[in-house]
Amino acid sequence: MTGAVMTPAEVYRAALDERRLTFQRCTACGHSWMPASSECPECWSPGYEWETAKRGAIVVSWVTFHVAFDPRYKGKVPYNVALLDLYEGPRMVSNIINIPASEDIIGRQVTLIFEQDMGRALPRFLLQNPIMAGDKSVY
Amino acid sequence: MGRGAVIAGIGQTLFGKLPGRTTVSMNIEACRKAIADAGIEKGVIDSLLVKVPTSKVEMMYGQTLAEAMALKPRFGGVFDQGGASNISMIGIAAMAIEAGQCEVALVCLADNPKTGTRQAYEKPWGEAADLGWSSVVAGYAMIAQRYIHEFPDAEDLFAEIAIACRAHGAANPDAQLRLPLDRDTYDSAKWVVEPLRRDDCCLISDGAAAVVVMSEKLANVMGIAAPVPILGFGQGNSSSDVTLRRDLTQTQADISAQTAFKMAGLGPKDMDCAQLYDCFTVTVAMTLESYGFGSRAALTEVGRAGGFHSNGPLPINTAGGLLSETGMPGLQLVLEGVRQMRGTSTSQVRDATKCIVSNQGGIMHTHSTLILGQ
Repeated sequence: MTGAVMTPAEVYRAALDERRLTFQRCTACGHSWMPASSECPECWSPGYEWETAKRGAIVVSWVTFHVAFDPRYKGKVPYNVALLDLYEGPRMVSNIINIPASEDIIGRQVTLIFEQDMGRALPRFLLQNPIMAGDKSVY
Repeated sequence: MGRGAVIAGIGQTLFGKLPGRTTVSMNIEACRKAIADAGIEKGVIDSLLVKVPTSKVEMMYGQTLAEAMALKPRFGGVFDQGGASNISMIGIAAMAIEAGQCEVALVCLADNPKTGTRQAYEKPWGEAADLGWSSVVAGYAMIAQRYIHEFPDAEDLFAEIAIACRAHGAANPDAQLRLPLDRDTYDSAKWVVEPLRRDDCCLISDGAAAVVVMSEKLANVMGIAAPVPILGFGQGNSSSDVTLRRDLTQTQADISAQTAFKMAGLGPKDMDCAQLYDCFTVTVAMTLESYGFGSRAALTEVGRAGGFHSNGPLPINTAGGLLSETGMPGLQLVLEGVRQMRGTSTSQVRDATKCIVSNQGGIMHTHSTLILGQ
């Protein structure tokens, strides 16, 4: 430590820069959560430990932007943003790299990868077992 | 409590693009028209409650407005729940009157994101900003996608909601968008954030609205011409960000409605029309279900049969709503509820004596409900 006190958000970001996706777990009640905060949102305890997400996630929902409200994403539309439940519990927002067109991917499994983009290492996800056109065997 | 309060007057500005107007100026115009509509003088106003504009959030806005109106309110200020603030403030005014804190309250809202900035609606969100996560419409699209996953006929329901609101807007000479919508146009409109199309999304508008709240007793004493009784109100706040909500298609709107229905001693079957916050079509679909107007499938059948129109069994947003009258966040729906109870709507529901109004804010973070009678 250099002496400067880092906020939980800064600790989270520093781990991402080292290509580790982390979340907090309460030492009092065991609840795990994202985004980073100083107290457990369930029991308000200030005691927590950092854990590293390793096992991927399930798709809760996703959207496709056809308009770039953020000028940095102009030229990237259409692009998706997805809501994901990590297997460890916390819910987070990310992108899925290989969504097939016109397919409902809610409930599908995704795997964490890191991509160098926007000048940093960003946590993104790959859809597992993409379903090939015409292949209904996996349903 | 509050059952003895009425809406004594209503006022509004033009809706649309109003260059050269500050929100203070628009608020004053709406308040001037509201007290004229009530037939009262400025001197009797002893409370001012105002929603902060989205286009410019500033401290002490309630006092800034009171100063510009040369008012010294016994009771008042800003109450911030986004779009739910309006109905919540009407409830607060009714309770304050009941508790002897004031006698005549102005509740108002002005906003100018169309000539000012719409940054509040388009800004990037937090840690995920670098991943392209931005805008209010994307938050609602995330909810809508989940809704469609759970209920595959959702597109029909969304389309019928938009078509009914737009038909009512077309009939309203004060509406910002007077272009009726048909299903082919709805289906072929471009995506904004998929699965939401252009016509699922509300307008961006400048404008203001205001209502006067007082006790029924005082309205009688003052000889108010067309007082509309406030029968019930309630709130329910999900509060967490949409990305943290465990169930995306469930909010606290049901709690809000149950509180209002209990206060009024009424239920959904007693309502003759509904003015529902339609920032996006999915919001109306979820509110109708939460309020007890039927299952998703039953609502879709009502919609397919044209039932959301003013001559149908479940008329909604009879002035056009946020989709057509004005995108202003919410108070215009209360004004239309008042017009329905007075019998003066441009899409009047025959013999209407009970109207439910919803307001909500953020990305379904907040919700409030008002029941008006006659």
